[in-house]
Formats: sequence, C-alpha cells, structure tokens
Amino acid sequence: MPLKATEIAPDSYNGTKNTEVLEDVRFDLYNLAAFNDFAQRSDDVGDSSSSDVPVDGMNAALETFLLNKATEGTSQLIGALWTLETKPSDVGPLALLPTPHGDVEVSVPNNALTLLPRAKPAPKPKEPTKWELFRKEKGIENRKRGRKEWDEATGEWKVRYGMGSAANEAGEWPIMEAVQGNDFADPWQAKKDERKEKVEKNQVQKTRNMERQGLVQKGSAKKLEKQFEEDRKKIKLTAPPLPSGLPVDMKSTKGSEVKTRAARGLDSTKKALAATRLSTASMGKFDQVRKGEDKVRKKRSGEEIRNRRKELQSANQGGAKGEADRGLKVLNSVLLGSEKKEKMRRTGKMHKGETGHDFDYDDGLGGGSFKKRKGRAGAGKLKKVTKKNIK
Amino acid sequence: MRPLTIDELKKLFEKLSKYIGKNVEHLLKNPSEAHAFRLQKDRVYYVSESLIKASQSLPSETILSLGTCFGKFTKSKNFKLHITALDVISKYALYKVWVKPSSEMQFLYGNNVPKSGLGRMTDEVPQYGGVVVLSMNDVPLGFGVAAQSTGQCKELEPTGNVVLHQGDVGEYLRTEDDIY
Repeated sequence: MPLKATEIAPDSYNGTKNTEVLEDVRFDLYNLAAFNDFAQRSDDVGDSSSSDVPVDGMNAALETFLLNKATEGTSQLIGALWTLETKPSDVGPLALLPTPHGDVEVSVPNNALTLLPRAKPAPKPKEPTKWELFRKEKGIENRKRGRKEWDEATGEWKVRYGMGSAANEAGEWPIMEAVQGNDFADPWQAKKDERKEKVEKNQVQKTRNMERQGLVQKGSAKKLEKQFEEDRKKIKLTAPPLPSGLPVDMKSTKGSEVKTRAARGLDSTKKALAATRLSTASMGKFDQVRKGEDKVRKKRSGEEIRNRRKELQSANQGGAKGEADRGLKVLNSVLLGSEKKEKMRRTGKMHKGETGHDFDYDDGLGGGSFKKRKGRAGAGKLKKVTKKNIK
Repeated sequence: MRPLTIDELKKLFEKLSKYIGKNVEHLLKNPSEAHAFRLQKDRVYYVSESLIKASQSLPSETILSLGTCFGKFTKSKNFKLHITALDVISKYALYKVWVKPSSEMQFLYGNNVPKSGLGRMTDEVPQYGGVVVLSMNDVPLGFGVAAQSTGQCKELEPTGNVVLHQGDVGEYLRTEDDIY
C-alpha cells in the first residue's frame, strides 16, 4: 500500500488550522526583517518550571515557543519576498527589494522602513577660517567679481589676472629708483623676493587655518614658517649680492659634462680662498672667519655619518676573526701602498710630498702641466723612416 | 668604546709598522687569544676578546681604561704612540739601539741619545726609522726615531744625536696623570 504525504504530516496539509494561529507580522523588506507586534501571554513566553533558557529574575523563556514564533515570522517574510517583482539573472530570478527612496513599488501591505541610527557620529561643522570670522564680524559680504576687466589702455576686455591679463602683458618696466646705500642690490631680485615672501606668508596662513580645522597636525604651520625663515637665512648667507665687477662663473657644456671655463667668478674665487686658508700651520683652524664665509672644516654630513656607522657596524659583525681580517686588509694596503692612493695622488685628491700640504690646486682655469707633444713624437712611436722602406 | 674606522686603522698601522714592520700581523693574529683595537675617548687600546665582551655591559662613558693603551689620536687626528705600548713594540721591534749605562739616565729624563751614549745598534737602520731603545742588559727603556742611518752613525761626532727621543719609561713618573 503506497504511503501518502498527508498521512505522515497531516498538519502541513490541514490549511485551516494554520491560518487560525498565524499572526500577521510587520515587514521591513529593505532590511529583510519581520516584526511580530502581537501581545503574548506571559505564561506562553516564560515558565518558572522550565529551565530551557534561564534568565536572572525572570521566568525562564520557553525556547520552543520562541522558535515557533520565529518560524512563523520567517515563513511569512519569505512568502512576502516571493510576492515581490523579480528580475531574471544568471543565477535565477532576483527579487527587487524596496529602497529607502521609495523608487520600487511594493505590493506587500504592511511594509515599512525602520529607521536605524547612523553608525558613525555626525560630522562637526567646519571651523571658519580666520578671514571668514573677520568677514562675519565686519559684516562684509562676498560679491562676485567678473573674470574679465575693462582695460582702458587697449580698449578691450581682458582677464583680471594670470595669462593675458593687462598687468601680465604690460611687460617689465625699468625700475628707475636705485636704493641709496646698497649699490649692489638687484631691484628685480628684491621684487621677486618680496613676491616670494608673500606667497610663503599665505601658505603659512593657509596651514594655520587647516590646523584650526583639524585637517593637519598641530604645530605644522609654525614648522613651515620656521623652515621658510631658515631657507631665507641660508640664501642670505650663501649668496651675498654679487659685486657688479666680478664675473660670473661661466660654464661650458662640452659633451655631457659641465666644466668651469676660463672666467673665475664668485664660486671659483671662493674655492681658491678655501684652498689658501688651509695653508697656515693650523690649517686654518684658528683663523678669523668673516660673516658669510664657510667654515674651513665642515661638519660631517649626514651621509658621512651614516657611512661611518655602517663601517663600524661591519667591523662588529664578523666577530674577532672578521675584525682581524679587516685589520689585515688595512695593514696590507699600508705596507704595500694601495693603487687607490696612487690614483688619488695623480688626481690631486691626496698630497704628493711628505708634508701633507703638497697639493696641486685646481683653480678651474685649466692648463695643467701636461702638453700634447707636437711632431712625430706626439703621434707615438713610429717605424723609423729610412731610405730603404720609404715609398 | 668602538672599533676603529678604516682611516684610523691606517694611521695606527702606519705608525706601528715604523717600529715593528710586518709584525703588526702578529698583533692581529694573537696566538694566545684574539685581540682587537678599540677606541675610547680618542685613545686606542689593544684589548683581548674576553675583555671586550666583559666591557660591553658597561656604559662607554664610565670606562676610563681597558687593555693596553697604545696611544691616542691628537686633535688634528694624527696618531701618537704612548710609552704604554713599549711592551708590545719591544717584543717585535725591527730596529734596536742599546744605550750605555752612563747615558741611560739621560735618556730616561727625556733627552735624545747621543753617539757617545750608544752601546750597540742594529745593522741597516734607515734614517728616521722607528727604533726601540734598550739598556745593555736588554731592558726596554723607550723608543724613538733614528736620526741617522746606521752607516752614517759611524761617521758621526760623539755629541751628534743617534736616536731622537719619542717616549721613555720615565714618563710613567713624569706624565703619570695622562698616560693611560
């Protein structure tokens, strides 16, 4: 005798019984949730005798009752989803869920969007800049200015600033006034410096505003200001106004290498001075230094310090044996005299005589001791030309 | 305290090799125990490995001296050999000069060795070569520089200098304060 499904699970086929019990839930299809708002009897929800889910100070919840309610809700929710409009796709039909904007029509009767609190705190209102504060205090209103401006000289509309503006196209007028007492000062340079200073000031103010708004770290405006100031100082120290009589170091670009040419200017004069300053017994250590003059012995650069640290680290690495090997290497070069030393002597990086002061100073004016030989010897060794092999 | 840089090692070896030549190698490869050079407050020390390891736990500023002091780097970064290195130098010295008992004291007070005080001398000492000065019974007294080569010394008058003084044992008393 065949077995019938109705006999095994009569409840699932007995529709009348189920609909009686079913409580209509409230949907929130956007969040895929269903809520049962019906009041429940407390005896149904909790029972002091049962100990399914014990809760302090309350009757123990009845797990089976809650599960039943959840099942009811879920089945209604899934049923509601099936009533939605669908869209065919590669993986089967996709239901079109309602959106908070309400642009999808839903036929489910009791569907409502639940408003959830936002995950992150609301953004703070933007701090006004210093100018905005000032404007508000004075009651200044922003008025729009046209990008174009009437230029009376040419009788044309021109851009207010930037390329093609009247101020820009006027070109540089000669600066007639020479400042008394400072003959070497370059008025054009002064103008440039002034402009640059303005730009830097603006940059600092901008950073200060950003600092107030919490967009950059505190103290970065001060840091920037300090850096600008230091840069300005450095320029003042390294580049004093060039006397008008002194030629500029002329560079000639022969091939890819840039070489100094015959005219000795400020740079090479400085170099020559540095070379002569080493010629006292103390090698210039106790000489008076003028303002703006470089120190004779420079402080070690960061790279030099790093290199030395690396060198010492490598000395420590190999242990006692490694250190002995390193020592032997140096000893060898001391006893035999390294090729490198010879090369340095030849190129003028190392002294030639015994005193340690015996350098060939390269003043950049060219003309070493080497002269190309002219004539037959200059071409190298040739076969002797005799009467016999002459042709 | 730190190992020497290559430039410092070069200066040290240049100076040492004037006195002991190739024997510097023996200092680097000490058969009894591995030794190394260390720099501490401009002074160069010849230190055994066990001592280096023991000193590593100490802060560098607290170390006054360790191992054998060989000398110091001057402010102008030249290396100056100290009398404390005499023990090592005399052991491996290439050129030696023996001094008569009569002029021993003269030398120990920091004077040069004249020809009249010369007892014996190694052959083929070059001019300005580093020499170790010993008493006639082979006690090292100090070191210096040969003013003349051995050949030229023979023609020298009795008052002429043979060895120019650089360091002597008397310094242990005279410059006690800053010797180590």
